[in-house]
Amino acid sequence: MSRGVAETMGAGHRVEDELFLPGHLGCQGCGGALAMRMVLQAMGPKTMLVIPACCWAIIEGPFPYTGLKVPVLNVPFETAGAAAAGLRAALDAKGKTDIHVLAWAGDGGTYDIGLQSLSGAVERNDNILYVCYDNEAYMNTGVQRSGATPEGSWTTTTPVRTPKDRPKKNMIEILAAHRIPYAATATIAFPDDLAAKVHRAKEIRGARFLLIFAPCPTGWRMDSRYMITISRMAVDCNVFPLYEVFDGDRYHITVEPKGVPVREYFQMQGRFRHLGDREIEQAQKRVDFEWRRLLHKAMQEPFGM
Amino acid sequence: MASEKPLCLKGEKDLPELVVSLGSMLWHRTGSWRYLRPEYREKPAPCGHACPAGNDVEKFLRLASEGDFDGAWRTILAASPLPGVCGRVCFHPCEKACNRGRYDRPMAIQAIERFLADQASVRGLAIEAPPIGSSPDRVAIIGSGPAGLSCAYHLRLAGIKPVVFEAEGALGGVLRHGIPAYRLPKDVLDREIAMLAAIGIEFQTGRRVGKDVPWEAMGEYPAVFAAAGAHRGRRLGIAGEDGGGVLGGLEFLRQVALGLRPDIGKRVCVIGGGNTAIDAARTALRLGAQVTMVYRRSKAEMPAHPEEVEEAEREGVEIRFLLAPAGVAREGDGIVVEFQRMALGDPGADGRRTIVPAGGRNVFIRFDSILVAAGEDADFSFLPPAVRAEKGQVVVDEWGRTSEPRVFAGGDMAMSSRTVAHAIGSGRRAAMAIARALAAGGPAEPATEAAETAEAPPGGVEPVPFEAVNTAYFEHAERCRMPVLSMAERLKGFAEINLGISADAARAELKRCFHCGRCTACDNCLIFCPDMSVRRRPDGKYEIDYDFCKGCGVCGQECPRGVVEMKLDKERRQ
Amino acid sequence: MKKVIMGNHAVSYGVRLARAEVIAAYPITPQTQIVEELSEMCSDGRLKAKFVKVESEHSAMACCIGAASAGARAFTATSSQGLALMHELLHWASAARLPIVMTNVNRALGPGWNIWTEQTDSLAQRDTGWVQLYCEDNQEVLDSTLMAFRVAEAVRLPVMIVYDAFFLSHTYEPVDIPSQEDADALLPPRKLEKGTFMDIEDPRTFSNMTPPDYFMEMRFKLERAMRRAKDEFGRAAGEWKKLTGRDYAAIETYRCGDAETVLVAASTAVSTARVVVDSLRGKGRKVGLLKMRMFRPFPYREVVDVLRRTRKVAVLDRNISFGSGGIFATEIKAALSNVPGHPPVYGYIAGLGGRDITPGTIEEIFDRTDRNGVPDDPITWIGLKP
Repeated sequence: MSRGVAETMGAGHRVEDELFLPGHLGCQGCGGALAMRMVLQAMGPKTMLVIPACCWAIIEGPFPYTGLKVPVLNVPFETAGAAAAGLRAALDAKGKTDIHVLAWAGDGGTYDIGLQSLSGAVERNDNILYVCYDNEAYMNTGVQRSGATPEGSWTTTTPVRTPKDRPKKNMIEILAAHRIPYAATATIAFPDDLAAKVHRAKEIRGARFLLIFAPCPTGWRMDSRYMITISRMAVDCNVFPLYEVFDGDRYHITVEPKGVPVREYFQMQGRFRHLGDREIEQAQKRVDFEWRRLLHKAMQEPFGM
Repeated sequence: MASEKPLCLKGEKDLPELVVSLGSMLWHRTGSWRYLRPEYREKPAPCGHACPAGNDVEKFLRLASEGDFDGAWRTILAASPLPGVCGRVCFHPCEKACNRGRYDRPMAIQAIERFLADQASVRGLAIEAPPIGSSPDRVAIIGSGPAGLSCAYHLRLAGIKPVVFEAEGALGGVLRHGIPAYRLPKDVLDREIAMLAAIGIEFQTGRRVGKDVPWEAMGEYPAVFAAAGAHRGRRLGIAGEDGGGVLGGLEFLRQVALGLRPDIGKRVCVIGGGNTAIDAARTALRLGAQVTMVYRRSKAEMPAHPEEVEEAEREGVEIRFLLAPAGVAREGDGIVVEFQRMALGDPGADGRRTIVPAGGRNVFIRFDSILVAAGEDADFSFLPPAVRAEKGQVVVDEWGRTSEPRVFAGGDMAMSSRTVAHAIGSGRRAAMAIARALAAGGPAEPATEAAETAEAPPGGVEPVPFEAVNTAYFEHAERCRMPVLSMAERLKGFAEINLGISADAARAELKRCFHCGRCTACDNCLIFCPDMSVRRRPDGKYEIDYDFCKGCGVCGQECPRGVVEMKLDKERRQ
Repeated sequence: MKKVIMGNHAVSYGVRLARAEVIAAYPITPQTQIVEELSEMCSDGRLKAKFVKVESEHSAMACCIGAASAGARAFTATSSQGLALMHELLHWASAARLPIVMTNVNRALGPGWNIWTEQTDSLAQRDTGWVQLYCEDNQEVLDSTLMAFRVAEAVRLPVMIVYDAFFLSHTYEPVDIPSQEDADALLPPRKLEKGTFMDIEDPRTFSNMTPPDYFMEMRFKLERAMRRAKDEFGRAAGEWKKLTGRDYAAIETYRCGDAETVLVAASTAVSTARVVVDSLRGKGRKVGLLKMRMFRPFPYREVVDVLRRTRKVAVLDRNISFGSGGIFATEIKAALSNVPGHPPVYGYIAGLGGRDITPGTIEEIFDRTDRNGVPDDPITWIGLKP
């Protein structure tokens, strides 16, 4: 189990050699931008990206420029899974089987509008790695609720009088139900855990899915400096446990959380500021319940309610 | 990298047939978004900042954690010639200041200092000193306690020849005659003094200035550093105090240190609550006595170091509180001490609670002897009257300068914080001032902070507060434990109680250090930058690419040790 | 080699001869035999393509977009509701300049559910930037499939092959299956120019945000490519004629030389109309027939050259743009509008939702056109039950 201090980048590291360049259009403290940086470091240059509509369609920079040093295909919002499958098929047809196809979508493009095409690709077991950088709302369009928005959260379409009243979709469970060879959660606050998962995913053939918790300081109404801190807290308070699932069946928790109260996590973010003690207690109960269920799946604890 | 410019595509003919990139975003200097600016600024760690001797604690811990024990030892030597001594007897304000103390428990800095000193001794390392300069100047040092030794050492490092006058027959001052051997074995002191003698410091023992050597003889030295200590025990000022069976605590310790066995009988009363009182009590215990300490106030007000008090109690010293001695009477072979019952009053000027008579009948207790440890005064009668003194102390500035241009003073006779570390620090600062004065060729010029730059801890500003440490990067870990002598073995004699930690224990302990304020090249800022705006410098540390840095502040927040600061970007605000 | 095959299988044969590399499709009546036969071909190795069995038509087109972006020859087939579902991606495919080829079997859009032929589905996609070719028989279906790839790759635009549900899709006709050599001669492997496809050796970003500074120019280039598609089709047809003797053009005319009334039609109705024209000519009536093969790009010059010489133009539309009229008629009127003294255009709606267009239907159209001095309404319904 790894946590805390990240492995260093090596003495010879040069920004110039990275596959993601400075000058990009991500907001200050963009978790999605950092997620890309970390994933590409692990993927290496033999990677082709498929990006549907999402913040990243802005971050990468406009025509006639690019912020990335790997080939990138922009595709419509709901098509990441299918377009990546097509790209994969073309590369395979041309014998370029050593190139990785990396679909890179936000939570809206994954949990909601893109769920069908993702489901298709996973069910067919297309040989792609699908990464969802999850900032828990439609951020690019100005913070509207998505299927990934947590219960109780404010967004511009769930005002504080009527905040979101349904829990976040459990994306990993949806994929596990497809018997996907590999699905995992990761966060930029645990870079070595994230890199290990990307490397693991690279080794596996077939559909692979990585859900990366990627804070959006702009949409979460928080100081950008806490971008990593909040990611770490999400893990430590069990809101976003770090684990992996093999073949939709074998669960493995990769980072042991510290058990921070959910309240502390909520307090750092403006999107939860309106929540009262009762709502926070309810959230804590739900998080505890989900965590126990996960422990049970990971064969670490029996589960009885 | 930031030399790229936007593409110049004027019309349809310049454009590709489809939407495809032709260049990178590197022309886009996102630094213009920034209003906060990260800066790398190493700062003092609280440990070193708190060290009265001026030790760069973080640095020696860092070198030691890298396995460079010799380098770590030499780092300590840059501030103090007595790591073996300090590693045993210093009350380690560094550990009190240690930020780790607010996370779990402070670093065991003293234990590591001792470990480094002892391993250097085992390995036969020697102090490296430059040759003595061509100048015939020699500096006289009065007293070979920690202040005198420190001053002599630092002068010697500056290429100046010191001559140390010691009144007693053996060197070390309070280290030899005041601190019991179970805390500081004499061979450790001898070992470190021998190292000083080896680099050409001249010692003259049995030469009390003002008696064996007239003050006038000091006239041949361009500078004199007076550090004769504070040895005169204070009196209680009560009836019967001057009779037999009453001995000063420090005098008692001196006699024991000289190998004498003063007759104190079986039942011994130690009056006082300071470190001398504790040392006297524990020493008396080792001479076979039953010891009762009596202190006017309560435990919380005791000036003695709590760990020492605890040890004394564990060894069997009885401590009675809120009893003030009121008179001494002799009855047969023994002494009856009369105590007045006291109660705690309001806090006094020093913050400690004062005492007021509690009323009720006085208490009478029978003893064989009394050791009075009610504090010590300095004797500076050997100094000319022109050297100003106030409240029992020679008046000095922070560089040890007295009212007389040639005369410097330090240690217990010149300061209120009477600890070994403070004495070492005072000797060091005086040595700097003296060296500067001599270099200037005349009477001491005012020395400035700048004189300290070379060896001072980095930054010279406020130390890193605990809040600036990102504890997420540090796992809780147990502090190492000092192995100690069993109780049965202790009371047999004066064998050293603390046995020292092993190399393995030291290595494990060293892993706990936060290295507050010091860039350890951990790569966090580099790894967590979402804008690829942190670059590694050739020296392994980092710089910010301000062309692109958006000022998100993640590097500052995720720096585990408070090195990266976010400041308002004035350049950008305009 | 001649074979009696259904229209849908003619597509499958065409795709095999075109050596498609990636196929992505979702089943929909009346397209299913295309993908069933292609599955057989991929399964038994006659076609070395990756067939991605997607979960929707939307994903079929997305998959083709991904595949074509990497330089592969990509194909899909659909119909009606499936085509409508793809709509967003049809724009994307053309603006991304991807030479995807798709077969659309014309079928009416619901509700009510209807699986029979009607052209509204494909004609509703006329503004998506796709080349559209309408076929009359199974031979034409096969030959058009090959030529479609050729045109698509030459101008970097997607091409849609269109034909009637059941009247062609499920109708068996003798078809000359071209040899692989002839197919390869017409259609060499897709040429990949640097900077136009996803290439690990030349990493670039495709289809990203395009600001107002550049967007119009990119659309201008698309339109220019669309205009070129007609010439490329002509070139391909010329080569194909040399190889097979079969002649194709953007439009075809039948007995139009001295015709006073020319009927415009597309797809299987053309065959029926041909019979009617012969019959009416036998009775001395000066009628002719114009077959629209290419609808996008719209062959303005060719259409105007034929129609400006006639007295009346009748247009048979098996489709309707509600509130406007038959879509072919609308386009023909637009084409003629700038011709001084152009003939009147009579628009007829017939055969919606698979209702038969019989010789009688077409005779009625000729009769009504000749009878009426001027068109009384933009829409005249033929065969409507009173």
